[in-house]
Amino acid sequence: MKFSLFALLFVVVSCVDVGTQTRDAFILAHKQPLSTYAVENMDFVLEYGLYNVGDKPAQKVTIDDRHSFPTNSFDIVKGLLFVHFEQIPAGSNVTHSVVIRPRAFGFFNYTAAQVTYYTDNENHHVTLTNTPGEGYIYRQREYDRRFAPKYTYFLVFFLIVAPTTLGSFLLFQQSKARFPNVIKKKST
Amino acid sequence: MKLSTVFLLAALGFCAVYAADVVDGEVTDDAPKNSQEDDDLTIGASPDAGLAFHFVQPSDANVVREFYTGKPVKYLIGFQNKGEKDFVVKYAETSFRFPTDHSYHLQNFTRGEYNRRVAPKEEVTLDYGFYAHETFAGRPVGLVVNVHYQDADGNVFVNNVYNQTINIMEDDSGFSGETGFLFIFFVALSIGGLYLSNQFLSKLSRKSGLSKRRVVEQGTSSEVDFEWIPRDAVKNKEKRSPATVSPKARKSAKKAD
Repeated sequence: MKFSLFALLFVVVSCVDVGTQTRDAFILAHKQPLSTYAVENMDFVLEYGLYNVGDKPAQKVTIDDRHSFPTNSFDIVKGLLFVHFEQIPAGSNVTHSVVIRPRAFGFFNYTAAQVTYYTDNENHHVTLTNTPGEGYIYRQREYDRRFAPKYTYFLVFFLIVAPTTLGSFLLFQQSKARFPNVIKKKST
Repeated sequence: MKLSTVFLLAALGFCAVYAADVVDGEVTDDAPKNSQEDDDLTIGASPDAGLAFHFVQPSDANVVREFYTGKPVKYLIGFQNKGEKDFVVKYAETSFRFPTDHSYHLQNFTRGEYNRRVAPKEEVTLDYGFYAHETFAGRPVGLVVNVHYQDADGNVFVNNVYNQTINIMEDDSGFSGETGFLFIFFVALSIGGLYLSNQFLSKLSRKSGLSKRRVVEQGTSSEVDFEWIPRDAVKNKEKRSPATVSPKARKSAKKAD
């Protein structure tokens, strides 16, 4: 009887253990543009986030995104598209950002980056990040038309307006200089 | 012998009544309904899929389970294929449920379409984001996230990756139009109050000034600027009433005469 009770207790404890057992490292990888607009020949910032949601550290983590930004259509201004982290502890996260510069305008499909990591030095895992999807790379001129400071426009505007403002002011000055005495008399 | 036959007859009669009851057909068809419900519940998780869920924004939502209205809520779903066949992650559906009754939907969000193929021994991360509307501010709701996926044979699976009650808080960090307009209203009210009080005070002071003047007033004859009055008019006046003193004074002068 006692033995059977113990056996039952053991079964119950092992069931609980299954419910709360520690999970291996599980990395969620996140790729996200931080710039609102992608414009040709202007900086574009990308951020990669790695979140270890498992209960054990992930070893030898790499991010590889070289294939999604071919160098014939993108300049890499700052940062690396292939990064290596020795370890990401459980429950912590890493962010990595890269500044690139598109060389041409048009639609571009932002694909997933590849992340690899090891759990227990043995199990090799391959993870693909989310895909930001298709985005439009603006033409420089289009972007300037909407957002650049319009100094030349103002200059041209002032030149056009000059005959009616500056011209009339000069005429007024001339006529005023013609009657200096009359004005003095009135004021006294 | 007689007693036994009576018992037998009674038993027969009872059976007949019971049978009649059954024939009446009052027993409803419960059984098929139950089986249908069972069929619905058979769409479950696949043993070869491992899923994970993590809030990215706000970053403390994983622990405290709180959102702010009007600010983006972003989360990641990890999908791990532990089996030997491909999986296709079709979509994830997010919904707010009534906290005490999760079968009651408060809001269904646009489902995130992914259609991502996950090869064996591979993992994929999916992202989704939404805004909690202001009307949910200050109350708990049940957030439910289900992931729908298919295996290579076309079997459909559904995994529940998040099913918790979360608190939605009002965002009071930034400028809110309501308090801003309240402030402007109070400023306007105080300016109006100042104006009214100023008006009232000036009225009071003017009254006192008038009464004083009434006592002191003695006519304006001495201060008349005669340059402004035509000559003949002044002469006429002098002819008609040479005396500039008051009638009382005149009377007293006559008496004296």
